[in-house]
Amino acid sequence: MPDAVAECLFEMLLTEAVKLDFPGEGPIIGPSGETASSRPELHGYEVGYRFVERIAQARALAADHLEAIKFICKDVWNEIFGKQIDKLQTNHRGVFVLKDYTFRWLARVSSDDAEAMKRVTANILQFPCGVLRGALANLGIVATVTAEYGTLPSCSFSIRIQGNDARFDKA
Amino acid sequence: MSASSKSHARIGEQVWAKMPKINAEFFCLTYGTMVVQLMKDFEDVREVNKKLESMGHGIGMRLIDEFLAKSGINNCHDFSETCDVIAKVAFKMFLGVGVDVANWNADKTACSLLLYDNPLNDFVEIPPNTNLLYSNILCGVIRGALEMIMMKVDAFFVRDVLRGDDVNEIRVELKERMVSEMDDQYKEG
Repeated sequence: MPDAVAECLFEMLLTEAVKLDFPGEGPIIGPSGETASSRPELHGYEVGYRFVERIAQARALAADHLEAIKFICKDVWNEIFGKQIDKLQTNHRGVFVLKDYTFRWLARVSSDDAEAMKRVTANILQFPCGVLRGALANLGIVATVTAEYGTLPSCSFSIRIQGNDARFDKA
Repeated sequence: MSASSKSHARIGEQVWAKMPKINAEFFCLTYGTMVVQLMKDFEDVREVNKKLESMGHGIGMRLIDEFLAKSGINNCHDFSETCDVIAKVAFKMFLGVGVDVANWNADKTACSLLLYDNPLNDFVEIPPNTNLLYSNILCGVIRGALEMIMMKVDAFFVRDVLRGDDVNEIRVELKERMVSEMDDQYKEG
């Protein structure tokens, strides 16, 4: 079995998956009871959680938040995108900003209509936000993640750490 | 293997080597999570199969551009060459797997694609006695892509490893070749 597939396939799959959003169904609650802000976000959460489960198997639990975030910026990003996050900033009080100057999942977004373009971009970005939140959750950290983009395909993710789950405190 | 089929296999290898790639496990998890979500949304598993197929159709319609741009393949002179190109070039360059063409009908309008490895199936088990066609999206991709180059086909799974078969088999049947209707529109203008 190959260990990689063409990236354009993934981007197109994501575009189709984001369209599946069903409006008007009330709060979105995942199988393990967590709430999500949107369907793509929940979708990303599940994927991020499981993916980190697989790549972090052989690793010791991160000793602190910064170490966990660094693991995501380097190892997780590298597994998914074949590159690291370009820039990491923190206020040392639980807020981390991850910048990626060439976020490839946005490279293909195009539309004649600026409003539609904004909507599609925002929807697609919900997915990696979920991936980050799911990855952190697997590492024992409860956080909220939001995304912002400037000149495409550059974008940044803000992680606000809300707390730890019981597992993290024991470590 | 015929001579042209061999050269298609070589083109497939070369294009695959140059494609930007993503972790296959991540891709599989994303697809799997989406299928699970669809299973929850639709009570009827046939609706899920249909939805997967129609998503694939959307992807195929865009993927054909990528295929033509990256592979450098031009017109195929008959349907059997088309199917060989799908198997040896397209599957290889997008999913990294080689696929065999078999079981042609007498008219050369229908054949089977045999996938020994289906990357989508990684880590997947489906509940017994369900009619879920887990990888039905692939059928949609084939239909959508060929539609853009004026071929109407039916594509459907006849064998699926996840359902206990020994190989994955997608049947592709050519229904009609569409005729370009562009000319009339221009005349009216």
